[in-house]
Amino acid sequence: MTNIDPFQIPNALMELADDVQNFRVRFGTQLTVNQRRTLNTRENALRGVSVSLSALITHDAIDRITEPLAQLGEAIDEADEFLMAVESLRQALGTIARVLNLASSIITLMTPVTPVG
Amino acid sequence: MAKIREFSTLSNQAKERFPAIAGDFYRSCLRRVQYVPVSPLPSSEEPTIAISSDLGEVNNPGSTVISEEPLAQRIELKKRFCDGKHPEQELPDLQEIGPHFTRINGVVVSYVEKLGLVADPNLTNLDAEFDTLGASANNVASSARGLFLATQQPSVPNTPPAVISPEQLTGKVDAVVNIFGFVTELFMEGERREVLETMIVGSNADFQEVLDSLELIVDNFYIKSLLRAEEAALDQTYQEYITALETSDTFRSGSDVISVTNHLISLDNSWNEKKELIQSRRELAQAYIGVLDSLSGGHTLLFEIFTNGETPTEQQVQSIVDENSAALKNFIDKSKALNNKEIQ
Repeated sequence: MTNIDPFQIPNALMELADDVQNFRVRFGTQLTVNQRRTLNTRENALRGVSVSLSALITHDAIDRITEPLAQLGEAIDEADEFLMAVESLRQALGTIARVLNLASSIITLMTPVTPVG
Repeated sequence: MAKIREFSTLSNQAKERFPAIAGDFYRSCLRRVQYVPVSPLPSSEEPTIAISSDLGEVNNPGSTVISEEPLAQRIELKKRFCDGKHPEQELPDLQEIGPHFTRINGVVVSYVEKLGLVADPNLTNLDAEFDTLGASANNVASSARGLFLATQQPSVPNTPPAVISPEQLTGKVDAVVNIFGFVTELFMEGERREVLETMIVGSNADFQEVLDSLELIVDNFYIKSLLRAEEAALDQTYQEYITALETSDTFRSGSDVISVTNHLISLDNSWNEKKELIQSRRELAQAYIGVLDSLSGGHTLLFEIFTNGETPTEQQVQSIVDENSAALKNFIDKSKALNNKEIQ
């Protein structure tokens, strides 16, 4: 059995509708109002079925990628963990820098004052 | 790396513009069903057939027949084909497809953002923290030296002797800073590569599948289906109006030709403006596909590099970032062009 790309079916229906449209435009003013309306009806019907079918296939396609999306979500979580670890590291570095500065200030405070004179 | 920051800025700008495509799925359907022509002029021929329905229910008796009256038709077509309330067919509500698409796109954007953050060598600016740490260590050593020297002054006889020399203190502080630096470097180098490799190698198949689906939705559903049908409905409506004017008794009898001609020109202009808008929406959607293709190509290249047990060079990363930035910039430009046309 030949594999048919489902998305090609709406496309084929659109092309049929294009043919109807071309016919209607080509014979334009030679057609009666009723004939034009009949052709409009057929063109609209073909395009309507095409869009509806395409919407159904799209809906189905969205359902099918639920699993890959969840996997991507896990990869995002792993990256988040790493980024949080880096952020913790940055904060730890900041804390040490502040403690050292504080130590420096304490040592300065402890410097004995030599009386003048 | 400046290029990664530029990519990140562009990515943020593009992120705000992506919903314009998803939001247009439903709106395109609404515009299409609005293009059911009203009868602008009295015609010598009375319509005698039952009027259109999109699923060919013309001869189907009962509730499925759609009214002949154009305004009633518009309301009915909207309910059936945009809102998914068809009496006989189970059709999706197009208002739901847009948010689904936005959600999927949001996951892709979030994934790419995290990838960029992990890959960014300036991540959280650790170098600056190390500089501060080094400066603080020097301050401690220098203060200690001052204290040590002061304790040697004979004018303060009762000062206790220093328990640690400035050299010893400097050595201890330096050792702590160096060990911390060493551990951090190991963590950053090893972990960053590992996280990147895990993300890219482990997610490549899923990432490509999601990108393919997004491309399928935009290309087949939006461009080739919704916009195409909308454009055809637009053409049909304007062709009907123009044909009605051209074949009108007023025009044929030659009276008021200038007025009818002016009306024809005005119709033609309005038709062209609406077609131009559809074309801009199509170009925006194609630019979006360009972004997806560029992301897909870059990810595949990194996947191949990591799978071969190698690490991407800075040049390779730059080239990928450049290509992605160019695709994003093109998308943003097309989005701005569409916005300008819409507000005109």
